[in-house]
Amino acid sequence: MAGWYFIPITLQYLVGSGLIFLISFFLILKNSKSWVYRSFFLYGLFAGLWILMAFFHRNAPNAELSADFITVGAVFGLIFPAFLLITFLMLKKQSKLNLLALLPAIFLGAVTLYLMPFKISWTTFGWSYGYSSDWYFATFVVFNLAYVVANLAVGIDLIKTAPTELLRKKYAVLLISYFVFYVVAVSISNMLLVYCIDAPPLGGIFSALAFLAIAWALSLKFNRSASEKSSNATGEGERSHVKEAP
Amino acid sequence: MERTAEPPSILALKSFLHELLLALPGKELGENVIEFQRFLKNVGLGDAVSLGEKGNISIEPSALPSLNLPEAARKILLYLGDQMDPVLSELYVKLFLETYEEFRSSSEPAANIWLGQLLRDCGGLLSGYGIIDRLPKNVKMPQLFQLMKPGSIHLRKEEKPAESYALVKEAVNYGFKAFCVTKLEPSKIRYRYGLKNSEIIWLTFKKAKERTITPDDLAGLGSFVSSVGLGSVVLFDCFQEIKVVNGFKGALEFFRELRTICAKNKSILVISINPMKLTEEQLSALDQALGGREK
Repeated sequence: MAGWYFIPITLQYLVGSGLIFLISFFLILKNSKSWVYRSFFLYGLFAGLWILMAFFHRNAPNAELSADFITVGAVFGLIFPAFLLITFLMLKKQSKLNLLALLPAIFLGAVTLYLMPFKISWTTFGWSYGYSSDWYFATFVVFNLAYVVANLAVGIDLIKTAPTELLRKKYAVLLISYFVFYVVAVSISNMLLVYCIDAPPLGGIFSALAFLAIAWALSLKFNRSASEKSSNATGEGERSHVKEAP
Repeated sequence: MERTAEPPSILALKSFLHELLLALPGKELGENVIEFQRFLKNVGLGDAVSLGEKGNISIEPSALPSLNLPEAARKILLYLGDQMDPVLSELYVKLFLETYEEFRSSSEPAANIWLGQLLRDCGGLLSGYGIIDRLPKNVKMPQLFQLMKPGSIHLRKEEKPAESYALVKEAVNYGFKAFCVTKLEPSKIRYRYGLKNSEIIWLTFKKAKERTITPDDLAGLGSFVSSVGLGSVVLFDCFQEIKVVNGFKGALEFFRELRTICAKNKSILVISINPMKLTEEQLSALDQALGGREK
Protein backbone atom coordinates (compact mmCIF):
# COMPACT_ATOMS: atom_id res chain seq x y z
CA MET A 1 0.00 0.00 0.00
CA ALA A 2 3.09 2.22 -0.31
CA GLY A 3 2.42 5.71 -1.60
CA TRP A 4 -1.31 5.73 -0.88
CA TYR A 5 -2.70 8.88 0.70
CA PHE A 6 -5.23 8.98 3.46
CA ILE A 7 -7.40 12.10 3.45
CA PRO A 8 -9.50 11.97 6.67
CA ILE A 9 -12.61 13.51 5.08
CA THR A 10 -12.73 10.63 2.57
CA LEU A 11 -13.46 8.24 5.41
CA GLN A 12 -17.10 9.19 4.75
CA TYR A 13 -16.90 7.13 1.54
CA LEU A 14 -15.88 4.02 3.45
CA VAL A 15 -18.65 4.55 6.04
CA GLY A 16 -21.20 5.26 3.29
CA SER A 17 -20.30 2.21 1.20
CA GLY A 18 -20.09 -0.03 4.29
CA LEU A 19 -23.58 1.00 5.33
CA ILE A 20 -24.94 0.42 1.83
CA PHE A 21 -23.36 -3.06 1.60
CA LEU A 22 -24.67 -3.96 5.05
CA ILE A 23 -28.27 -3.07 4.21
CA SER A 24 -28.12 -4.62 0.74
CA PHE A 25 -26.67 -7.94 1.95
CA PHE A 26 -29.11 -8.08 4.86
CA LEU A 27 -32.02 -7.75 2.44
CA ILE A 28 -30.80 -10.21 -0.17
CA LEU A 29 -30.05 -12.86 2.46
CA LYS A 30 -33.63 -12.59 3.69
CA ASN A 31 -35.22 -12.61 0.23
CA SER A 32 -32.72 -14.25 -2.12
CA LYS A 33 -35.35 -15.78 -4.42
CA SER A 34 -37.15 -12.57 -5.26
CA TRP A 35 -36.31 -10.66 -8.45
CA VAL A 36 -37.37 -7.41 -6.78
CA TYR A 37 -34.83 -7.93 -4.02
CA ARG A 38 -32.18 -9.13 -6.43
CA SER A 39 -32.44 -5.91 -8.42
CA PHE A 40 -32.59 -3.82 -5.24
CA PHE A 41 -29.47 -5.63 -4.03
CA LEU A 42 -27.68 -4.74 -7.26
CA TYR A 43 -28.84 -1.13 -6.85
CA GLY A 44 -27.18 -1.09 -3.43
CA LEU A 45 -24.13 -3.05 -4.57
CA PHE A 46 -23.35 -0.71 -7.48
CA ALA A 47 -24.11 2.41 -5.42
CA GLY A 48 -21.72 1.09 -2.73
CA LEU A 49 -19.02 0.25 -5.30
CA TRP A 50 -19.41 3.70 -6.83
CA ILE A 51 -18.75 5.29 -3.43
CA LEU A 52 -15.88 2.90 -2.71
CA MET A 53 -14.24 3.75 -6.04
CA ALA A 54 -14.52 7.44 -5.11
CA PHE A 55 -12.55 6.67 -1.93
CA PHE A 56 -9.78 4.92 -3.88
CA HIS A 57 -9.80 7.68 -6.49
CA ARG A 58 -9.30 10.36 -3.83
CA ASN A 59 -6.49 8.50 -2.03
CA ALA A 60 -4.69 6.83 -4.95
CA PRO A 61 -0.85 7.05 -4.96
CA ASN A 62 -0.75 8.65 -8.41
CA ALA A 63 -2.92 10.41 -10.99
CA GLU A 64 -3.01 7.41 -13.40
CA LEU A 65 -4.36 5.04 -10.80
CA SER A 66 -6.76 7.72 -9.57
CA ALA A 67 -8.07 8.10 -13.14
CA ASP A 68 -8.57 4.32 -13.36
CA PHE A 69 -10.63 4.32 -10.17
CA ILE A 70 -12.80 7.27 -11.16
CA THR A 71 -13.42 5.67 -14.58
CA VAL A 72 -14.57 2.37 -13.07
CA GLY A 73 -16.51 4.32 -10.43
CA ALA A 74 -18.27 6.32 -13.17
CA VAL A 75 -19.43 3.05 -14.77
CA PHE A 76 -20.87 1.86 -11.43
CA GLY A 77 -22.42 5.32 -10.99
CA LEU A 78 -24.20 4.88 -14.32
CA ILE A 79 -25.42 1.39 -13.51
CA PHE A 80 -26.94 1.82 -10.06
CA PRO A 81 -29.81 4.17 -11.10
CA ALA A 82 -30.68 1.59 -13.78
CA PHE A 83 -31.13 -1.03 -11.06
CA LEU A 84 -33.38 1.28 -9.04
CA LEU A 85 -35.48 1.65 -12.18
CA ILE A 86 -35.52 -2.15 -12.61
CA THR A 87 -36.56 -2.55 -8.95
CA PHE A 88 -39.49 -0.18 -9.48
CA LEU A 89 -40.44 -1.96 -12.72
CA MET A 90 -40.22 -5.37 -11.02
CA LEU A 91 -42.54 -4.12 -8.28
CA LYS A 92 -45.05 -3.20 -10.97
CA LYS A 93 -44.65 -6.30 -13.13
CA GLN A 94 -42.04 -9.01 -12.98
CA SER A 95 -40.57 -9.49 -16.42
CA LYS A 96 -37.12 -10.16 -17.80
CA LEU A 97 -37.76 -7.36 -20.28
CA ASN A 98 -37.24 -4.93 -17.38
CA LEU A 99 -33.54 -5.71 -17.66
CA LEU A 100 -33.51 -3.76 -20.93
CA ALA A 101 -33.34 -0.66 -18.72
CA LEU A 102 -29.68 -1.57 -18.20
CA LEU A 103 -28.73 -1.22 -21.86
CA PRO A 104 -28.11 2.58 -21.95
CA ALA A 105 -25.97 2.35 -18.79
CA ILE A 106 -23.95 -0.55 -20.21
CA PHE A 107 -23.48 1.29 -23.51
CA LEU A 108 -22.26 4.51 -21.89
CA GLY A 109 -20.23 2.47 -19.38
CA ALA A 110 -18.39 0.80 -22.26
CA VAL A 111 -17.77 4.19 -23.89
CA THR A 112 -16.46 5.52 -20.55
CA LEU A 113 -14.05 2.60 -20.14
CA TYR A 114 -12.85 3.07 -23.71
CA LEU A 115 -12.38 6.85 -23.57
CA MET A 116 -11.36 7.30 -19.92
CA PRO A 117 -12.57 10.91 -20.25
CA PHE A 118 -11.33 12.30 -16.93
CA LYS A 119 -8.53 14.71 -16.15
CA ILE A 120 -7.11 14.33 -12.67
CA SER A 121 -5.66 17.04 -10.45
CA TRP A 122 -4.43 17.20 -6.87
CA THR A 123 -6.46 19.24 -4.33
CA THR A 124 -6.58 19.84 -0.56
CA PHE A 125 -8.91 16.80 -0.34
CA GLY A 126 -6.87 14.36 -2.40
CA TRP A 127 -7.25 13.71 -6.12
CA SER A 128 -10.16 15.32 -7.90
CA TYR A 129 -11.43 15.08 -11.45
CA GLY A 130 -12.85 17.07 -14.32
CA TYR A 131 -14.16 16.04 -17.76
CA SER A 132 -11.66 16.12 -20.62
CA SER A 133 -14.34 15.86 -23.30
CA ASP A 134 -17.30 18.24 -23.57
CA TRP A 135 -19.40 15.92 -25.71
CA TYR A 136 -18.84 13.04 -23.29
CA PHE A 137 -19.90 15.29 -20.42
CA ALA A 138 -23.04 16.30 -22.36
CA THR A 139 -23.86 12.66 -23.17
CA PHE A 140 -23.25 11.69 -19.54
CA VAL A 141 -25.66 14.40 -18.34
CA VAL A 142 -28.32 13.38 -20.90
CA PHE A 143 -28.13 9.66 -19.96
CA ASN A 144 -28.26 10.48 -16.26
CA LEU A 145 -31.20 12.83 -16.76
CA ALA A 146 -33.00 10.12 -18.71
CA TYR A 147 -32.60 7.69 -15.78
CA VAL A 148 -33.72 10.39 -13.31
CA VAL A 149 -36.86 11.11 -15.37
CA ALA A 150 -37.59 7.37 -15.84
CA ASN A 151 -37.10 6.67 -12.13
CA LEU A 152 -39.32 9.61 -11.20
CA ALA A 153 -42.04 8.59 -13.66
CA VAL A 154 -42.14 4.91 -12.66
CA GLY A 155 -41.58 5.70 -8.97
CA ILE A 156 -44.40 8.26 -8.82
CA ASP A 157 -46.73 5.87 -10.61
CA LEU A 158 -45.79 3.15 -8.12
CA ILE A 159 -46.52 5.48 -5.20
CA LYS A 160 -49.85 6.53 -6.70
CA THR A 161 -51.03 2.99 -7.33
CA ALA A 162 -49.70 1.45 -4.09
CA PRO A 163 -52.59 -0.28 -2.30
CA THR A 164 -51.68 0.82 1.24
CA GLU A 165 -50.40 3.89 3.01
CA LEU A 166 -47.40 1.93 4.27
CA LEU A 167 -46.32 0.97 0.77
CA ARG A 168 -46.78 4.52 -0.47
CA LYS A 169 -44.51 5.67 2.35
CA LYS A 170 -41.88 3.04 1.56
CA TYR A 171 -41.80 3.80 -2.16
CA ALA A 172 -41.84 7.54 -1.53
CA VAL A 173 -38.79 7.29 0.74
CA LEU A 174 -36.98 5.12 -1.84
CA LEU A 175 -37.66 7.65 -4.55
CA ILE A 176 -37.04 10.75 -2.47
CA SER A 177 -33.79 9.40 -1.00
CA TYR A 178 -32.56 8.67 -4.51
CA PHE A 179 -33.70 12.04 -5.84
CA VAL A 180 -32.58 14.24 -2.94
CA PHE A 181 -29.28 12.59 -2.10
CA TYR A 182 -28.08 11.09 -5.38
CA VAL A 183 -29.58 13.48 -7.90
CA VAL A 184 -29.81 16.91 -6.24
CA ALA A 185 -27.12 16.75 -3.55
CA VAL A 186 -24.50 14.81 -5.53
CA SER A 187 -25.14 17.00 -8.61
CA ILE A 188 -24.60 20.14 -6.52
CA SER A 189 -21.49 18.59 -4.98
CA ASN A 190 -20.15 17.65 -8.44
CA MET A 191 -20.94 21.12 -9.82
CA LEU A 192 -19.03 22.62 -6.92
CA LEU A 193 -16.08 20.41 -7.83
CA VAL A 194 -16.27 21.50 -11.47
CA TYR A 195 -16.27 25.20 -10.58
CA CYS A 196 -14.18 25.04 -7.42
CA ILE A 197 -11.79 22.15 -7.53
CA ASP A 198 -10.88 22.59 -3.84
CA ALA A 199 -14.46 22.14 -2.57
CA PRO A 200 -14.78 19.36 0.03
CA PRO A 201 -16.24 16.10 -1.35
CA LEU A 202 -19.54 15.11 0.28
CA GLY A 203 -20.74 12.12 -1.82
CA GLY A 204 -20.08 9.59 0.96
CA ILE A 205 -22.18 11.49 3.48
CA PHE A 206 -25.03 11.85 1.01
CA SER A 207 -24.92 8.13 0.22
CA ALA A 208 -24.94 7.20 3.89
CA LEU A 209 -27.91 9.51 4.46
CA ALA A 210 -29.73 8.07 1.44
CA PHE A 211 -29.34 4.52 2.68
CA LEU A 212 -30.24 5.42 6.27
CA ALA A 213 -33.51 6.82 4.92
CA ILE A 214 -33.98 3.66 2.84
CA ALA A 215 -33.23 1.43 5.85
CA TRP A 216 -35.85 3.32 7.84
CA ALA A 217 -38.42 2.90 5.05
CA LEU A 218 -37.69 -0.81 4.72
CA SER A 219 -38.12 -1.36 8.44
CA LEU A 220 -41.70 -0.02 8.38
CA LYS A 221 -44.20 -2.83 8.92
CA PHE A 222 -47.91 -3.23 9.39
CA ASN A 223 -48.84 -2.86 13.02
CA ARG A 224 -49.86 -6.40 13.97
CA SER A 225 -51.93 -5.50 17.05
CA ALA A 226 -53.75 -2.55 15.49
CA SER A 227 -54.80 -4.40 12.39
CA GLU A 228 -55.59 -7.57 14.32
CA LYS A 229 -58.15 -5.59 16.28
CA SER A 230 -59.89 -4.73 13.05
CA SER A 231 -59.77 -8.26 11.71
CA ASN A 232 -60.90 -9.84 14.98
CA ALA A 233 -63.86 -7.54 15.57
CA THR A 234 -66.31 -9.51 17.65
CA GLY A 235 -69.62 -10.66 16.36
CA GLU A 236 -72.05 -13.34 17.32
CA GLY A 237 -72.55 -16.19 14.94
CA GLU A 238 -75.03 -15.37 12.27
CA ARG A 239 -75.02 -18.24 9.81
CA SER A 240 -76.52 -16.89 6.66
CA HIS A 241 -73.65 -15.62 4.52
CA VAL A 242 -72.33 -18.91 3.27
CA LYS A 243 -73.43 -19.66 -0.21
CA GLU A 244 -74.11 -23.24 -1.11
CA ALA A 245 -71.59 -24.82 -3.38
CA PRO A 246 -72.99 -25.59 -6.81
CA MET B 1 -77.87 2.34 12.57
CA GLU B 2 -77.02 -0.96 14.23
CA ARG B 3 -74.02 -2.76 12.82
CA THR B 4 -74.71 -6.34 11.74
CA ALA B 5 -72.42 -8.80 13.49
CA GLU B 6 -70.17 -10.82 11.21
CA PRO B 7 -70.55 -14.61 11.19
CA PRO B 8 -67.68 -16.67 12.69
CA SER B 9 -66.60 -17.92 9.26
CA ILE B 10 -66.07 -14.36 8.04
CA LEU B 11 -64.13 -13.50 11.18
CA ALA B 12 -62.04 -16.65 10.68
CA LEU B 13 -61.44 -15.67 7.04
CA LYS B 14 -60.28 -12.19 8.07
CA SER B 15 -57.94 -13.58 10.74
CA PHE B 16 -56.51 -16.07 8.25
CA LEU B 17 -55.98 -13.45 5.56
CA HIS B 18 -54.39 -11.06 8.01
CA GLU B 19 -51.93 -13.70 9.22
CA LEU B 20 -51.18 -14.66 5.63
CA LEU B 21 -50.36 -11.05 4.79
CA LEU B 22 -47.96 -10.92 7.73
CA ALA B 23 -46.45 -14.32 6.94
CA LEU B 24 -45.68 -13.65 3.28
CA PRO B 25 -42.04 -12.80 2.58
CA GLY B 26 -40.82 -9.50 1.15
CA LYS B 27 -42.21 -7.05 3.71
CA GLU B 28 -39.31 -4.64 3.31
CA LEU B 29 -40.20 -3.64 -0.24
CA GLY B 30 -43.89 -4.49 0.03
CA GLU B 31 -43.67 -7.55 -2.19
CA ASN B 32 -45.85 -9.37 0.35
CA VAL B 33 -48.74 -7.01 -0.45
CA ILE B 34 -48.35 -7.62 -4.18
CA GLU B 35 -48.28 -11.40 -3.62
CA PHE B 36 -51.25 -11.11 -1.25
CA GLN B 37 -53.32 -9.36 -3.90
CA ARG B 38 -52.33 -11.99 -6.46
CA PHE B 39 -53.44 -14.65 -3.97
CA LEU B 40 -56.83 -12.94 -3.44
CA LYS B 41 -57.39 -12.81 -7.18
CA ASN B 42 -56.46 -16.47 -7.65
CA VAL B 43 -58.75 -17.73 -4.90
CA GLY B 44 -61.65 -15.60 -6.15
CA LEU B 45 -61.65 -13.12 -3.25
CA GLY B 46 -60.27 -10.18 -5.24
CA ASP B 47 -63.58 -8.32 -5.36
CA ALA B 48 -64.81 -9.19 -1.88
CA VAL B 49 -61.74 -8.52 0.25
CA SER B 50 -60.05 -5.17 0.56
CA LEU B 51 -56.82 -4.22 2.19
CA GLY B 52 -57.05 -1.11 4.34
CA GLU B 53 -54.54 1.71 4.58
CA LYS B 54 -53.01 0.22 7.72
CA GLY B 55 -52.94 -3.35 6.43
CA ASN B 56 -56.28 -4.29 7.97
CA ILE B 57 -58.47 -6.76 6.11
CA SER B 58 -62.10 -5.96 5.46
CA ILE B 59 -64.87 -7.69 3.55
CA GLU B 60 -67.10 -5.51 1.45
CA PRO B 61 -70.63 -5.74 2.99
CA SER B 62 -72.12 -5.65 -0.50
CA ALA B 63 -70.04 -8.71 -1.47
CA LEU B 64 -71.15 -10.82 1.51
CA PRO B 65 -74.38 -12.22 0.04
CA SER B 66 -72.59 -13.52 -3.05
CA LEU B 67 -69.45 -14.69 -1.26
CA ASN B 68 -68.98 -18.41 -1.88
CA LEU B 69 -66.90 -19.21 1.17
CA PRO B 70 -66.75 -23.02 0.71
CA GLU B 71 -65.34 -22.49 -2.77
CA ALA B 72 -62.87 -19.91 -1.44
CA ALA B 73 -61.77 -22.32 1.33
CA ARG B 74 -61.21 -25.03 -1.30
CA LYS B 75 -59.23 -22.73 -3.56
CA ILE B 76 -57.11 -21.46 -0.65
CA LEU B 77 -56.13 -25.04 0.21
CA LEU B 78 -55.28 -25.83 -3.41
CA TYR B 79 -53.32 -22.58 -3.84
CA LEU B 80 -51.25 -22.79 -0.65
CA GLY B 81 -50.94 -26.61 -0.59
CA ASP B 82 -48.51 -27.76 2.09
CA GLN B 83 -46.90 -24.33 2.43
CA MET B 84 -48.83 -23.11 5.48
CA ASP B 85 -46.81 -22.69 8.67
CA PRO B 86 -48.29 -23.90 12.00
CA VAL B 87 -49.83 -20.52 12.93
CA LEU B 88 -51.37 -20.02 9.51
CA SER B 89 -52.55 -23.62 9.22
CA GLU B 90 -54.27 -23.36 12.62
CA LEU B 91 -56.19 -20.32 11.35
CA TYR B 92 -57.00 -22.17 8.14
CA VAL B 93 -58.34 -25.13 10.12
CA LYS B 94 -60.59 -22.72 12.03
CA LEU B 95 -61.77 -21.13 8.77
CA PHE B 96 -62.45 -24.55 7.26
CA LEU B 97 -64.39 -25.84 10.26
CA GLU B 98 -66.47 -22.66 10.63
CA THR B 99 -67.25 -22.71 6.93
CA TYR B 100 -68.26 -26.37 7.07
CA GLU B 101 -70.44 -25.82 10.16
CA GLU B 102 -72.27 -22.90 8.57
CA PHE B 103 -72.64 -24.74 5.29
CA ARG B 104 -74.00 -27.78 7.11
CA SER B 105 -76.51 -25.74 9.04
CA SER B 106 -77.87 -24.32 5.80
CA SER B 107 -77.80 -27.59 3.80
CA GLU B 108 -76.27 -30.78 5.16
CA PRO B 109 -76.35 -32.81 1.90
CA ALA B 110 -74.67 -30.00 -0.06
CA ALA B 111 -72.07 -29.56 2.68
CA ASN B 112 -71.27 -33.27 2.61
CA ILE B 113 -70.95 -33.28 -1.17
CA TRP B 114 -68.51 -30.38 -0.84
CA LEU B 115 -66.53 -32.18 1.86
CA GLY B 116 -66.49 -35.40 -0.16
CA GLN B 117 -65.13 -33.59 -3.19
CA LEU B 118 -62.44 -31.93 -1.09
CA LEU B 119 -61.45 -35.28 0.40
CA ARG B 120 -60.95 -36.64 -3.09
CA ASP B 121 -59.02 -33.57 -4.28
CA CYS B 122 -56.77 -33.01 -1.29
CA GLY B 123 -57.47 -35.54 1.44
CA GLY B 124 -53.76 -35.74 2.25
CA LEU B 125 -53.61 -32.04 3.07
CA LEU B 126 -56.84 -32.15 5.09
CA SER B 127 -55.40 -35.02 7.06
CA GLY B 128 -51.95 -33.42 7.37
CA TYR B 129 -53.31 -30.16 8.71
CA GLY B 130 -55.41 -32.09 11.26
CA ILE B 131 -58.75 -31.01 9.79
CA ILE B 132 -60.07 -34.58 9.51
CA ASP B 133 -59.51 -35.19 13.22
CA ARG B 134 -61.38 -32.03 14.15
CA LEU B 135 -64.48 -32.54 12.05
CA PRO B 136 -67.64 -33.24 14.07
CA LYS B 137 -67.75 -36.85 15.30
CA ASN B 138 -70.95 -37.61 13.41
CA VAL B 139 -69.37 -36.92 10.01
CA LYS B 140 -68.75 -40.21 8.22
CA MET B 141 -65.17 -40.58 7.08
CA PRO B 142 -63.68 -43.23 4.80
CA GLN B 143 -61.77 -45.91 6.74
CA LEU B 144 -58.55 -44.88 5.02
CA PHE B 145 -58.33 -41.65 7.01
CA GLN B 146 -58.36 -43.60 10.27
CA LEU B 147 -55.43 -45.63 9.01
CA MET B 148 -53.35 -42.95 7.30
CA LYS B 149 -52.79 -40.56 10.19
CA PRO B 150 -50.12 -37.89 9.64
CA GLY B 151 -46.75 -39.11 10.91
CA SER B 152 -47.87 -42.75 11.09
CA ILE B 153 -45.77 -45.70 10.00
CA HIS B 154 -47.11 -48.93 8.48
CA LEU B 155 -44.98 -52.01 8.49
CA ARG B 156 -46.70 -54.48 6.18
CA LYS B 157 -45.59 -58.07 6.09
CA GLU B 158 -46.36 -59.62 2.72
CA GLU B 159 -44.61 -61.81 0.20
CA LYS B 160 -45.32 -59.37 -2.61
CA PRO B 161 -45.95 -55.63 -2.12
CA ALA B 162 -49.35 -55.71 -3.86
CA GLU B 163 -51.34 -54.82 -0.76
CA SER B 164 -49.06 -51.94 0.14
CA TYR B 165 -49.42 -50.55 -3.35
CA ALA B 166 -53.19 -51.03 -3.16
CA LEU B 167 -53.19 -49.00 0.06
CA VAL B 168 -51.13 -46.26 -1.57
CA LYS B 169 -53.39 -46.31 -4.64
CA GLU B 170 -56.43 -45.85 -2.40
CA ALA B 171 -54.68 -42.96 -0.65
CA VAL B 172 -53.97 -41.37 -4.04
CA ASN B 173 -57.67 -41.67 -4.87
CA TYR B 174 -58.32 -39.63 -1.74
CA GLY B 175 -55.99 -36.85 -2.77
CA PHE B 176 -52.81 -38.00 -1.02
CA LYS B 177 -49.58 -37.48 -2.90
CA ALA B 178 -47.60 -40.68 -3.19
CA PHE B 179 -43.86 -41.26 -3.46
CA CYS B 180 -42.45 -44.75 -3.91
CA VAL B 181 -38.96 -46.12 -3.56
CA THR B 182 -38.93 -49.45 -5.38
CA LYS B 183 -36.68 -52.34 -6.32
CA LEU B 184 -38.61 -52.77 -9.56
CA GLU B 185 -38.51 -50.76 -12.74
CA PRO B 186 -40.77 -47.69 -12.18
CA SER B 187 -42.67 -48.18 -15.46
CA LYS B 188 -43.73 -51.64 -14.23
CA ILE B 189 -44.94 -50.18 -10.94
CA ARG B 190 -46.93 -47.51 -12.76
CA TYR B 191 -48.51 -50.06 -15.07
CA ARG B 192 -49.09 -52.80 -12.51
CA TYR B 193 -50.46 -50.67 -9.68
CA GLY B 194 -51.92 -47.72 -11.60
CA LEU B 195 -49.77 -45.06 -9.92
CA LYS B 196 -49.48 -42.93 -13.04
CA ASN B 197 -48.87 -39.54 -11.46
CA SER B 198 -46.82 -40.58 -8.46
CA GLU B 199 -43.11 -39.99 -8.15
CA ILE B 200 -41.27 -43.30 -8.24
CA ILE B 201 -37.58 -43.75 -7.51
CA TRP B 202 -35.80 -46.87 -8.61
CA LEU B 203 -33.40 -48.35 -6.05
CA THR B 204 -30.69 -49.78 -8.24
CA PHE B 205 -27.01 -49.62 -9.13
CA LYS B 206 -27.98 -49.42 -12.82
CA LYS B 207 -28.06 -46.18 -14.75
CA ALA B 208 -31.45 -45.50 -16.29
CA LYS B 209 -33.63 -42.77 -17.77
CA GLU B 210 -35.84 -42.97 -14.70
CA ARG B 211 -34.81 -41.33 -11.43
CA THR B 212 -32.55 -43.81 -9.64
CA ILE B 213 -30.77 -44.02 -6.33
CA THR B 214 -28.26 -46.60 -5.15
CA PRO B 215 -29.11 -48.75 -2.10
CA ASP B 216 -25.99 -47.55 -0.29
CA ASP B 217 -26.98 -43.88 -0.60
CA LEU B 218 -28.94 -43.73 2.63
CA ALA B 219 -28.30 -39.99 3.00
CA GLY B 220 -29.84 -39.41 -0.44
CA LEU B 221 -32.85 -41.55 0.44
CA GLY B 222 -33.23 -39.67 3.72
CA SER B 223 -33.13 -36.31 2.01
CA PHE B 224 -35.70 -37.53 -0.54
CA VAL B 225 -38.08 -38.48 2.28
CA SER B 226 -37.39 -35.13 4.02
CA SER B 227 -38.43 -33.28 0.87
CA VAL B 228 -41.82 -34.97 0.80
CA GLY B 229 -44.56 -32.58 1.85
CA LEU B 230 -47.13 -32.74 4.61
CA GLY B 231 -49.86 -35.37 4.22
CA SER B 232 -47.97 -37.38 1.58
CA VAL B 233 -47.40 -41.14 1.57
CA VAL B 234 -43.95 -42.67 1.06
CA LEU B 235 -43.76 -46.37 0.22
CA PHE B 236 -40.63 -48.52 0.43
CA ASP B 237 -40.87 -51.99 -1.11
CA CYS B 238 -37.11 -52.55 -0.94
CA PHE B 239 -36.24 -53.26 2.68
CA GLN B 240 -34.44 -56.44 1.63
CA GLU B 241 -32.17 -54.61 -0.85
CA ILE B 242 -31.29 -51.92 1.69
CA LYS B 243 -30.60 -54.66 4.24
CA VAL B 244 -28.32 -56.63 1.89
CA VAL B 245 -26.19 -53.57 1.08
CA ASN B 246 -26.12 -51.85 4.48
CA GLY B 247 -26.60 -54.75 6.86
CA PHE B 248 -29.65 -55.35 9.02
CA LYS B 249 -28.54 -52.92 11.73
CA GLY B 250 -27.81 -50.18 9.19
CA ALA B 251 -31.20 -50.69 7.53
CA LEU B 252 -33.00 -50.68 10.86
CA GLU B 253 -31.26 -47.49 11.95
CA PHE B 254 -32.12 -45.88 8.59
CA PHE B 255 -35.83 -46.67 8.90
CA ARG B 256 -35.79 -45.43 12.49
CA GLU B 257 -34.50 -42.10 11.16
CA LEU B 258 -37.20 -42.10 8.48
CA ARG B 259 -39.82 -42.56 11.18
CA THR B 260 -38.56 -39.41 12.92
CA ILE B 261 -38.53 -37.48 9.63
CA CYS B 262 -42.09 -38.56 8.78
CA ALA B 263 -43.35 -37.70 12.25
CA LYS B 264 -41.80 -34.24 11.92
CA ASN B 265 -43.09 -33.65 8.37
CA LYS B 266 -46.48 -35.22 9.07
CA SER B 267 -46.06 -37.59 6.16
CA ILE B 268 -46.94 -41.30 6.19
CA LEU B 269 -44.43 -44.10 5.80
CA VAL B 270 -45.43 -47.51 4.39
CA ILE B 271 -42.78 -50.25 4.44
CA SER B 272 -43.46 -53.52 2.69
CA ILE B 273 -41.34 -56.40 3.99
CA ASN B 274 -41.23 -60.03 3.03
CA PRO B 275 -41.26 -61.97 6.33
CA MET B 276 -39.91 -65.07 4.59
CA LYS B 277 -36.59 -63.28 4.06
CA LEU B 278 -36.13 -62.23 7.68
CA THR B 279 -35.41 -64.24 10.81
CA GLU B 280 -37.75 -64.20 13.80
CA GLU B 281 -35.28 -62.01 15.72
CA GLN B 282 -35.08 -59.55 12.86
CA LEU B 283 -38.86 -59.38 12.55
CA SER B 284 -39.23 -58.78 16.23
CA ALA B 285 -36.49 -56.10 16.17
CA LEU B 286 -38.30 -54.41 13.28
CA ASP B 287 -41.61 -54.48 15.13
CA GLN B 288 -39.96 -53.06 18.20
CA ALA B 289 -38.01 -50.35 16.41
CA LEU B 290 -40.65 -49.13 14.03
CA GLY B 291 -43.65 -49.81 16.22
CA GLY B 292 -45.94 -49.41 13.25
CA ARG B 293 -49.19 -51.02 12.33
CA GLU B 294 -48.68 -54.49 11.19
CA LYS B 295 -50.57 -56.81 8.96
